[in-house]
Amino acid sequence: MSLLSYIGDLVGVSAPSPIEMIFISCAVLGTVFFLIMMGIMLIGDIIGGVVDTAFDTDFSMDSDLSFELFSLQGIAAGVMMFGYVGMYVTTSTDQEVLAVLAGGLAAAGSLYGVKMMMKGITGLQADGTMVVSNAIGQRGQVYSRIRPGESGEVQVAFEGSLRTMAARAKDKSVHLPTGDFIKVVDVIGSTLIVEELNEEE
Amino acid sequence: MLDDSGDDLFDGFWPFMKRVLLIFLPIWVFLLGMSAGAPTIVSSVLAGSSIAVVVYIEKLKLKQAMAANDDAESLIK
Repeated sequence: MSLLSYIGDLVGVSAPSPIEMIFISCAVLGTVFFLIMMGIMLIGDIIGGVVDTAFDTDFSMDSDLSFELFSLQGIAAGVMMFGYVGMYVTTSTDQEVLAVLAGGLAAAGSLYGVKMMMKGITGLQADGTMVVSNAIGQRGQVYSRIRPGESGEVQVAFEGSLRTMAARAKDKSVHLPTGDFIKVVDVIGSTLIVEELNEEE
Repeated sequence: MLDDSGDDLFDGFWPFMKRVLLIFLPIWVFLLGMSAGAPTIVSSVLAGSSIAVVVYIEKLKLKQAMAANDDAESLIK
């Protein structure tokens, strides 16, 4: 008894036609491949964590590799769905053309699902680039005094974190001692232009 | 290395889609032909021709993207 006949008997199909053989093969191989890929992903993460802890190294899947894995998983899911849906339609309608058509649509649907998942994952990535101009209008405190016409340092909270930035007073004759409250009015390069915070503000 | 302008199509997903389609579309078309009772030679020719559809779609989307780009550049701001 060949492997395919054995699998055919296992899923309750006796003397399968060539198309049914293809559906069964796709379903079985796709499922096995899909499970292996899932296993590799999960075990890979666990092994990565163990190696990180034991040897204090940075062993992890980079984005390219995880993208490849997701792509392969998409193909595996597509092949698997082609097999399952094709087999289901064949047994229920006994029309092979319809089965191949439905299987193809199911495979396309699986791939589309993976695409949407990838789009969602990409959307989760945040651009960590600091845009200094976002500091304009923010209030903060002088960290290192700003002498007249010279630079000092201020602490300003923007983009969700407290940052210490180089700063100059807008009025060159003003001296801003440490601890004074300030407001950012402009940005030149990475230097903030600040002025003392008024009582009303 | 030359840039493939088709890489940005479909939100950058085209390279992946293209490879999958080039492999599986002919197989699917062949199976469709065979299950419909078409002769093997006809199914084979149809399967081979289906590759042209993938290339045509790429060209069409590239043309649309280039036209949209031209429109954006000729816009008076």
